[in-house]
Amino acid sequence: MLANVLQIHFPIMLVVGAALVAGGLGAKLFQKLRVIPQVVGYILIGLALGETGLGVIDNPSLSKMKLFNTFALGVIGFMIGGELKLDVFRKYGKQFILILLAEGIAAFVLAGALVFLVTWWVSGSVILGVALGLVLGAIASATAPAATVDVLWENKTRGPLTTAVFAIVAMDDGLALLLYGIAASIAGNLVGTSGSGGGMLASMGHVAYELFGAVGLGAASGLLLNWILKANHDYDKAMIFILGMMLLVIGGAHAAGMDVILATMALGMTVANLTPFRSKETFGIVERLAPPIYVLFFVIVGSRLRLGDMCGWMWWLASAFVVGRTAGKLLGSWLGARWARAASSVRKYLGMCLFSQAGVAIGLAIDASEKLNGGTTINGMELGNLVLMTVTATTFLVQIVGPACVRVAVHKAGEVGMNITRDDLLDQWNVSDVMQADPAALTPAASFREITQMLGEQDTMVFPVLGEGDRLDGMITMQDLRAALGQSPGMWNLLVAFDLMQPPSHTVAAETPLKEALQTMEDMQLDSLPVLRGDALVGMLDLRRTQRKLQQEIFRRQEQVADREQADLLREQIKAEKAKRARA
Amino acid sequence: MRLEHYLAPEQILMFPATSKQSVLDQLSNALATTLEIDSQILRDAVWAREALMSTGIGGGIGVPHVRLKEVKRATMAVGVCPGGITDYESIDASDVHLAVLIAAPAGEHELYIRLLARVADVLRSRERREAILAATDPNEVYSLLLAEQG
Repeated sequence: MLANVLQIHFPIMLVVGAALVAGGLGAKLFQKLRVIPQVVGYILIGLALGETGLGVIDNPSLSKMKLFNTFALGVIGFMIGGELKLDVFRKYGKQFILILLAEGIAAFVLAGALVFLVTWWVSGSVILGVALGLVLGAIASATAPAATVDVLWENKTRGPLTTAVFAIVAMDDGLALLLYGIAASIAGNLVGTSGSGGGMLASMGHVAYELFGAVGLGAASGLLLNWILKANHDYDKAMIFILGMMLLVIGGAHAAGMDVILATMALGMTVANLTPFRSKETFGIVERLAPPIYVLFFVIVGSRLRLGDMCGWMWWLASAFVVGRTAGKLLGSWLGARWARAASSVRKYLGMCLFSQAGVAIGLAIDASEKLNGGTTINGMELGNLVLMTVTATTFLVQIVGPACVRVAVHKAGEVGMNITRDDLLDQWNVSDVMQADPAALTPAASFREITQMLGEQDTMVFPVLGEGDRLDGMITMQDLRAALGQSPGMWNLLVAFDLMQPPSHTVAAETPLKEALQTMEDMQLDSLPVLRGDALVGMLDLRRTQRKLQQEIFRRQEQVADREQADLLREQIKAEKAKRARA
Repeated sequence: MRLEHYLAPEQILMFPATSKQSVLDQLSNALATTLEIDSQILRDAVWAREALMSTGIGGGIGVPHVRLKEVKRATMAVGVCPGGITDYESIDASDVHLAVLIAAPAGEHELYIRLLARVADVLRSRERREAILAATDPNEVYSLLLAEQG
């Protein structure tokens, strides 16, 4: 029994462990390079560990990890579902559906057409060209939500483009499944494998079952989970129920032949919309579980890529697929956004955000390899394997290029860092970003009258006393002044700033991280800190002023997003008005 | 606040007509001996403070004062000069007849301020000031300074 267990499970544990550790290290390395998102790091490590590289993750290991892959897709679906708030859909619903159809169908048509041409040229068969064009075209419409959304989270983006990307990548899977269902069934009939059996109508029925069944299962489970979580607030219990329900939905959908991502997406969406506030905690719990799952998922994606098996003409096929798909995504989202009168940033940059492909595309390709193998071959290559190899090879390319393009797009759209919190700012800012650079200061010889006069004029409770070359000699606090103000006025003539000042208990450098400086202030219960360069004063860090600046910055960025949306809306209204007048 | 905690008759010096330099140096030396610190450090500190603004507050009174980390307890010394110190540069331009040097530890800010205020209060009475100037020995000055304290 034990030997059995060791024989079956130990190697896979080793493989999983190696994939996690190496994936994590790879991401760290790529994070240092900054330009390339961390998912690319995971995928490259997967490539190195897979059969293209060292062969640590071989085919048997991959098939053992299939279940895990399904689970990871489920988790990704759940997290994306959490981002889909109904009020956003109510606001943009029609717009998004128009863009989705345009970009999905354009990618399908263009990628399909180019694949058809290459296949026709290689095989001389129109039928094979149509079959392969249909299947690869349908797969071309899919976009990887995880890799795309990861870049948005990493860059704390917010704005019309971000909202559009979230909505489009979330619904993209549904469209890809629909197109693929129809395409695979036609292709199966054309090449004589007819995997789904029963012809077009039955195939369409099956697709409808896959989609609507998944949404129904997810939504019903979401209602149930919400009801359970109402009575179970504490962290440990909540985690058990969330994980349990997610596995039930993933397992249920998998067993019933429904789409796993759609099912968990519906689960996440239901929970997020029923209790918007409490569900933040629910998603927080899954988010904390998610990193190792994501790492493993992308490492597996990388390890599936077997670039060595690709021969010359197959690279042409892959190129046709990538070029057609890229052109389709760019053109389709531009046209869709134009028709839908979306914001200009959406029109200009949405296409660039839709290049990534991973789980769903590979999943569909695996499905195609099962449905289309065993029929006609091209140059000795099974049609199904051809689809799988093309998609896996191009996945590698778009997974590297895709996230980088998303990064460029959100930068150009000016949405980076707009979804920022106080903690993010604290991590980014130094003391010099918030300090008062030219604070009111006293000379050691300043009389008591001058000091009290300054107290009335300045909005501050602490005065630095500066000697030659702005050297900080000491500080006068309200408490120091109060000691003198409580005495008879007769002695005030005796006092100058030098008599009242005290050496500062703490000082800070301008380059000190703000978080560290504020922690010192909290620990020492200080309201302000002198900022020094050498022994010269360069500014004052004031607690009230810092809080105000942090608030202002968060507010400013939110305003910027709102302003941009408002400006876009106005521009569209003016354009529509002009068009109306021109028609009249 | 009672002055006898900070002043002893030995720390009261009687001067003939003299200069600011001489009075402040001698008071500093006396106080440094009591406090067992380097008299040079105390003298330098006293003169550095005087350089910022004269401590002659008018009415014939000067209250030189310093805070120093070397000083472990607040202490004072009094110089009585009926002949007057003409170069004290008081705010009312009058000669100084009574100089009270106060030295306090660097960290005792509040005590330091209260001691300065107390001395200014005690010397506000013209009768007391005249009686002190008429006194012939330090013990008499000591009694007059401590008389009728609140």
